[in-house]
Amino acid sequence: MGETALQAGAQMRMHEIKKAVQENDSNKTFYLSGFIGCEPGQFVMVWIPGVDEKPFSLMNVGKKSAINLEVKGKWGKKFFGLKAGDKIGIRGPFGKPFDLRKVRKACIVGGGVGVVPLVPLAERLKKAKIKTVFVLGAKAKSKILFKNRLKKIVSKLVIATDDGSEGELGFVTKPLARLLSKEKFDCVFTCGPELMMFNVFELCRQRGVNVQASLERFMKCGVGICGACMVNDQIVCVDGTVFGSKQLAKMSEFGKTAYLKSGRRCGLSEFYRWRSP
Amino acid sequence: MLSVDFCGIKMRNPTRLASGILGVTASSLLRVAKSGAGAVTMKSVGPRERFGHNNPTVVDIDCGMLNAVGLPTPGYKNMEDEMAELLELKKIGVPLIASLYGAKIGEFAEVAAWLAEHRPDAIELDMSCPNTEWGGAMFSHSVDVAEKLVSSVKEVTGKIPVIAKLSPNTHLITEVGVACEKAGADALCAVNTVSAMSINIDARKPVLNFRKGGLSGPALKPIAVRCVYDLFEKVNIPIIGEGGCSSGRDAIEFIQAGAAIVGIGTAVRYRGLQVFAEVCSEMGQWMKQNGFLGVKEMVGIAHG
Repeated sequence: MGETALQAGAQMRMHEIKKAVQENDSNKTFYLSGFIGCEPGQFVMVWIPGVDEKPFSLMNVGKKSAINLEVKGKWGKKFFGLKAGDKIGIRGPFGKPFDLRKVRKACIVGGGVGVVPLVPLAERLKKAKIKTVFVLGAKAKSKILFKNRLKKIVSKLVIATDDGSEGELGFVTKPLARLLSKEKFDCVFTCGPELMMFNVFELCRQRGVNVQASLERFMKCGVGICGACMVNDQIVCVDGTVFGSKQLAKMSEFGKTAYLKSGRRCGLSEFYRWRSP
Repeated sequence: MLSVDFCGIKMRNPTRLASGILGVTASSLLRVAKSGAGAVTMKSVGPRERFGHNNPTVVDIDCGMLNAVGLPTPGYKNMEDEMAELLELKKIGVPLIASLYGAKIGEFAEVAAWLAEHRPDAIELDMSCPNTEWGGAMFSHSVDVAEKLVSSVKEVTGKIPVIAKLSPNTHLITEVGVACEKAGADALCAVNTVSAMSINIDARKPVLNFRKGGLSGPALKPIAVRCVYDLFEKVNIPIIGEGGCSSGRDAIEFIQAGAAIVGIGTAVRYRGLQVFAEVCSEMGQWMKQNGFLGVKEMVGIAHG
């Protein structure tokens, strides 16, 4: 059959779950059969047959592909019920990845499960011998992800928790502000809750530091036609997920509003309440 | 060379963004307009907020795409902001076609009346969606129902042209088109998607969450061309040729079959937003080589 390169990548393909690894009290990594090439910042659509399909960053370790997720919500619970041998569908990868060109010294800021694409990003930076400081945020000690793995990769790891149960008390922006006043970074890469990314962007903008943020919106097609994932006139699934400072500065909706599955525009807090009830 | 008059609407070229593609927000429609589309169509507006089906809602298959998004809509009452932002289209001179649906004839008229107050350049009736639990395509599967629907909408839309979007999932498409014309439709669109299914054999399940969906893209084109051809023989109102149009040659094929303008949707997935400008330049090139000075000269020339 005459498939175009684009079509071939986006057809649904089944992968077997090989094993699941518990990362913290509510988070697991599921290793999959077959390698799915996915650059940090790109995403795949993950299908549980007969249930639903959602966008995820892949965590690729060497030649193994894995999905990491929280137990949250109906879908998360379904996924946590999957065992080795069960099959899930994958479409993708979609979107544009983080851009590492011209970066000599990097800072990465991640919060919650937003850390997932940032671990392979840190690995990339290490391979390219780029000095990297990683600011890792979580609600509490029990929710911190990939601490030990990151320690081995990055030049410096700074942890901040909302309740102060590990590392610094408060949001990631506190240590980031300190780092920005002491050191010069070519780029701050970020992924996590949108308000966190917005605050990271604002801090960096004041200091003239470039940011690349991986944005998330409700996704349907993944290929830039359904229009569900717009942020202003940008289509997150094909123009993003990664947007640089210049684009972020033009996005009046960044950090403010998003669209529900119905297409109704709402504030970010309503959007997140709907996404993870 | 490419400018056309469609139901009294001036279009700089004969391509329009099909409904359901990048049509949820005002800012995406504006971007498509700036990318070169002759007109843009909103995603169908419904009577009340609806979330549509679970994913997968849109998937690639070998010969095109399947979708069953399930008519999500904020509901017209939640759309004042988007409508206000869409006024920007007037500044850049790209006409707005407002698509709408209902689950009953009364709901079509209810949404149409609200849309008419916002003065879109045309109103399109999505009377042929194959992907709803109430059987949204039924409105264009029966001559009587289609006629009743169009005339009840015409009562509330004043001078705004009304386009009836027809279903290819019926042997009655020509009869239904004629009935819509009789009821006052100002134009027809042929066609909506063809009801279809794709099963992932490794999952042993239909891929789309709604199981069935609408087939679009290259596989739909010959079906759509045939429908346009048949309708052109029987009606006197302009027809939008839609279904798999992906190139300048495709667009001219639809026009030779009898289309006044063409809709482009799934091709955005293959060629990006530049598809509108590219299709136009390909059309222009072919017309030049073949001695055509305007689009109108080519309409329906494959007949006879």
